[in-house]
Amino acid sequence: MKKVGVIGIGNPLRRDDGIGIVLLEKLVERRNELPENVDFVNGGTGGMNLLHILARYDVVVVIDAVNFDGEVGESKLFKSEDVNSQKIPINISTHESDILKVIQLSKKLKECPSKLFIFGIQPEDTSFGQTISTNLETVVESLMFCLENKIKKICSVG
Amino acid sequence: MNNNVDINVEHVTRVEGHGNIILNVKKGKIEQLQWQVSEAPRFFEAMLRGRHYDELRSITSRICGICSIGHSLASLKATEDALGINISMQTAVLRRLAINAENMQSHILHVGYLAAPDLLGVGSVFPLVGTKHTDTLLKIVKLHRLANEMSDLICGRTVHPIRLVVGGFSAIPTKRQLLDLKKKLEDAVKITKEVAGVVNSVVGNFPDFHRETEYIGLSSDKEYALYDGDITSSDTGKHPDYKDYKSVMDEYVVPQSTAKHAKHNRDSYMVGALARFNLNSKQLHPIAQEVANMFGLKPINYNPFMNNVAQLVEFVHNIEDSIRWIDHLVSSGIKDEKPVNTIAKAGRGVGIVEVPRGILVHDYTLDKNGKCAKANCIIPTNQNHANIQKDMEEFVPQIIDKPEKEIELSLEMLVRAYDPCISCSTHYLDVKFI
Repeated sequence: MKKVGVIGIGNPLRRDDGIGIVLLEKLVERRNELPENVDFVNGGTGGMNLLHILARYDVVVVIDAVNFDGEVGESKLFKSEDVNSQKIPINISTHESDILKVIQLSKKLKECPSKLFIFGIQPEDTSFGQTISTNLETVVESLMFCLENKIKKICSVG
Repeated sequence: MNNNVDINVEHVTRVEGHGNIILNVKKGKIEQLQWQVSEAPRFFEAMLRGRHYDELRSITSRICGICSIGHSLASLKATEDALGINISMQTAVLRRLAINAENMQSHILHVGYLAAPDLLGVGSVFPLVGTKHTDTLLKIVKLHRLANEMSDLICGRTVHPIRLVVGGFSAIPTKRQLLDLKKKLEDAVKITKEVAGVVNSVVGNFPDFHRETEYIGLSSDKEYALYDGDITSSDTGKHPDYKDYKSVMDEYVVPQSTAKHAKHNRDSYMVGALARFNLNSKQLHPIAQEVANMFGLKPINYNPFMNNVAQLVEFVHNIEDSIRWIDHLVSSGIKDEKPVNTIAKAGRGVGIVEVPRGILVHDYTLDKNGKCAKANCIIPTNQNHANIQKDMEEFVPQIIDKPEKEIELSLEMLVRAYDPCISCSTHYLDVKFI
């Protein structure tokens, strides 16, 4: 059986940036609805440790706040090769690194999962704060069901 | 000499946290040269007040996502000191394994991911893939992964340990798990030597800069001190009264920085891998000695850039040390020990350990109910800030004739050599669909 990893990424202290963790926790509560071979990983703020997490799985779904100039709460399931990073790192360190670059590195080192999807959610506000913005909060439940269905579909394809 | 230089690096990259370098030269005269730390204070000491002694470790672990094991151990030692608890030999050995794991995690991360790009002439670790250095990078990733697995096994997590508790461990690794780890550590010795060989081939790219300073760290008659030892200065020797650490680590505030500076016998002192090497190199295990010799690293070495090399030497020592302690545990029989029982009482305790960036102190005063009434934490990076500033003041006149970009890079490399760990940051993706 293939090992599937669902990895939530984000900083819950930066409001909507934490949506990846919020959705991960909601999925964990409903883990009985999902196949047994799915692991749930809190990837925190990513960084180089993500490299080691990726190496453990055959299939990975990363949940993360992604600014793609969409509507707040809009979600997209995409592959890392579908996008170009526009991120300008403020401070390249192991605390802050572009996860697309970590994925690239993982691929070049030939240890990246054969299937890797990013479930990106458009944030509204990533300033300091422990709560998700009101506009995003209203769609959290529907995002969770949408994500759950996508994970089930990915698992059924294998 | 350059007549005018205007360098304003805000912030220095490839360090943990935010620090700025300001250099302003007008008509050949240095008008401003500062290493600035501009981060907001985090009030951890205030957060501890009123908390039960059982909670202090898990709160202080969060001070740092890299040194969370080190903060946990300093916290436990301070708490146990205040409560008058003696830990078992097995706990002391497992804690040594934990501190080795963290030193390995942090050192390989710094040398491999953050400092190596300077030596290899690239902006970050990512462009190294696909070059002739791919193999070396793979080895570094493998070593980092091993250090993470070791933290996971001993401490229950890669970061922010959960098995380290007051009086012992909440869960103990099995003999089988320890022997598997030993096998991996043995394999890692060869890999590390190969990585060291590559670093040695480019180590000449570090500036040949020397400035005499004071080095402070723990030292012990029994071992290369990391978990236990006496506060020791390269200028004034041992200070066995650990509760009087403030007589050595004199912290003060400077206008340019929200982080404190520290001094002792001189204007500044250095802590960390190079300080420990300078104080205790004779106690390194044999292969670590061999690697130090390969680099020609001998005490006392006054070149701060060699802190990177000292980290690599310590990495090898940590592997050898861990293998020895695993052998000890296996031969004496691993016991399923429960943590020592604790009873709340009033008292003051001080815990001092060496963490990757240097000597770390936690000092707690507990009330009769076991709640924290007062706390003080002295963090290694803060002890190094003044030394970075003094290094810059002596280094800049030596490189002032070089092009501005080169001066800037040299100063950034100097800061990175100290492996400063200033705080934590945020993360989100910004993409455009193609």
